[in-house]
Amino acid sequence: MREGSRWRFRLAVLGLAALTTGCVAQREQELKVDNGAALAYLEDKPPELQRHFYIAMAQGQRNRVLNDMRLGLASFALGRTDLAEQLFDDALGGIEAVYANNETALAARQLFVKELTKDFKGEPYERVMAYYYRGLLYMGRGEYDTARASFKGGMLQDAFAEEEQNRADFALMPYLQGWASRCMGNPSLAEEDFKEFHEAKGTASLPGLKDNVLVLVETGSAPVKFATAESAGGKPRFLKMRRASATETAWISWAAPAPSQPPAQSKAKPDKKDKDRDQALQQPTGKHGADAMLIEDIFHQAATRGGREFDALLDGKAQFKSVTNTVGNAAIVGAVVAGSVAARSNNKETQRDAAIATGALALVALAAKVTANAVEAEADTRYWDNLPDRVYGLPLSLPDSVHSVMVEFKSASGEPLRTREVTIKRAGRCGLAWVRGETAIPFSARAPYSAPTDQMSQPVHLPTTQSLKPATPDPANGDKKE
Amino acid sequence: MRRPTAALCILASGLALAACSRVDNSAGTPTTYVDPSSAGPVRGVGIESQDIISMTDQMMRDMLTEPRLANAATPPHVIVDSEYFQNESSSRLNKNSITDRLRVSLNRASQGRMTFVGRNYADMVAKERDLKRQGIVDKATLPGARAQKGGDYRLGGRITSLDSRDPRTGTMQRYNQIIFEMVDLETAEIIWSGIYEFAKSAQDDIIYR
Repeated sequence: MREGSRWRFRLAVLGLAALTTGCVAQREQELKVDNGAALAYLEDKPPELQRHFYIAMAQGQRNRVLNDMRLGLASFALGRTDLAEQLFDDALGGIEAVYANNETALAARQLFVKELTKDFKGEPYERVMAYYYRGLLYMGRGEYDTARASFKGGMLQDAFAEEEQNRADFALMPYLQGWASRCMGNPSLAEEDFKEFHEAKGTASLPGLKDNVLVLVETGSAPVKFATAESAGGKPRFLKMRRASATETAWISWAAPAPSQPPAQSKAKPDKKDKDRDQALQQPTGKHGADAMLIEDIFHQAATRGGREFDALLDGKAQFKSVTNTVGNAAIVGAVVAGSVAARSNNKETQRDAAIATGALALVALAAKVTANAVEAEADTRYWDNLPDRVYGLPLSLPDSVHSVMVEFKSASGEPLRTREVTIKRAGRCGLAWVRGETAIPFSARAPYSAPTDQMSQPVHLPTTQSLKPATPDPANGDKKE
Repeated sequence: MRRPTAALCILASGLALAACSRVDNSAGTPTTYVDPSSAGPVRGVGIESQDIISMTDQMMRDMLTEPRLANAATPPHVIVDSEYFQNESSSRLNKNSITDRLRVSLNRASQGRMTFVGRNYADMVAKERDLKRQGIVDKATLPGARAQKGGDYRLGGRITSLDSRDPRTGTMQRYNQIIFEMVDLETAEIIWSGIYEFAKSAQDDIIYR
């Protein structure tokens, strides 16, 4: 090789190496937020969530639904129902919008673009839960028909599981549909809804006809998504879930002036748990208690969705990556062989030809490796991190004089973990008492994997009113006031 | 040497640049007015603004052809609100957006052939009447009434939907049915009925399936 050619070759190699680094799509990056706009936006937000809302601004449209959902839930838990309603309405607007001929959706299908560049809509279990919380907010306002519509809309999101037995089996939704139908005074509709609930959850017990308060208890923390490449039943799966918390149960107690009525409707063959509950409900001491029933295992819902249609595209990307990588390896071997021929040969012509071959094969290897490295076959692992692991429920018949219930969280072995007093919020015919075992305020201002790795750990500095003031002129530097 | 090396460099650079393909992070779209009677840029399978406008216009026209409502010797007192308008569908919506538009349209189009009673304002009216009768405020200019107006007819109705999903293709379809009924508040006779129905289907992008 001549000296000039060598330099060009080295420069090309250096350039390509530089190009392989930092291939983070601009869309993943957090945007710089205008301080004035941020201050105005954060003014009415809960202090505990200001860092989170600031990051939501910086992350923009790509993570809008994700941030709306986690902040909506946190606002709901803080009692900021107005804000929670706005956030969930916005999230559901994003979920319900049909992405057809959408540029970002098109881009996310491309070979060299990560799935996580798409606008987040969540996996079906996350979408269902957004409808669930919006429905609870409607129930809080006494708008039971709209609450029912929300639960029904949520159930529809669960219709796309790979295996038939896992489709539309999100039992929490029809249970709450039935409850909302009862509360709106429509028993025939309630019957249909509870029939749907039984289709999803066997013969689990139903609320009694006189029950007027529903206690909902959420335990544990959100299912965790992780990317993997495995074939289950011949179909590729690139997104998997793991449970993040241990089993917890809930014991609910309350003080009532008169014993509550046992449920009027129950399953045909009551098991021991139901008998215990009925006995507990009928204790004449004025202090009553019962175990809450597991209505939904969120992790189970997340984990039984099966493969996604999009996994087939990721599989195509992964195969392309594998083939390109193999081509790169073969070219490297070829380059080494050609290089050794060039080194050993005494014939100048052979040396020249071998050197050309070495260079060409090295470039092919480099190009193949760069290409293989750039193929983005990983699944999007952003997830709603302040969801619960399980949802328990207990319908009760309580007079208006009962304003709260006590919820004792227990470990799987029955050890008491913590106790919370929960206020019953009554609206119209019914009341709702909702409580969580763990905080709903996300620990990190950023949702998992919602930003590039280097940004995920960056501290969040909220703007202050000082940052808006123009710099004071410094007389020492010769600045003068006009 | 020069040509193949240069060609390979260009090829490799192209591939590497393609690897860094960036999704446009556009600054956004300025606010634009959208005709509410036509489908906007964001669409779903639920009830949308164009559906509400279309259905209320149709119901209004139909109601005005009912002689007991629009050609009675004495204009009937009608109550059009969402109190008895039930949503049993899977679409989350504010029912007032339907009944309010229907009432306003009817009120304007009927030109006095119907009298509209604002039952949702009953509390507001009762408070003012109390203040007047207690002498806290004066009697204003209108003659006093013995009581607030009662209703001859009241709107009832129901929104229902039938949803279907195809798990193989990710296609979703929703049939929406909205019925409107005007009920005689003495006899419970339904003196007028109207129905509006439509179905929508859509398929989300594969990246969401």
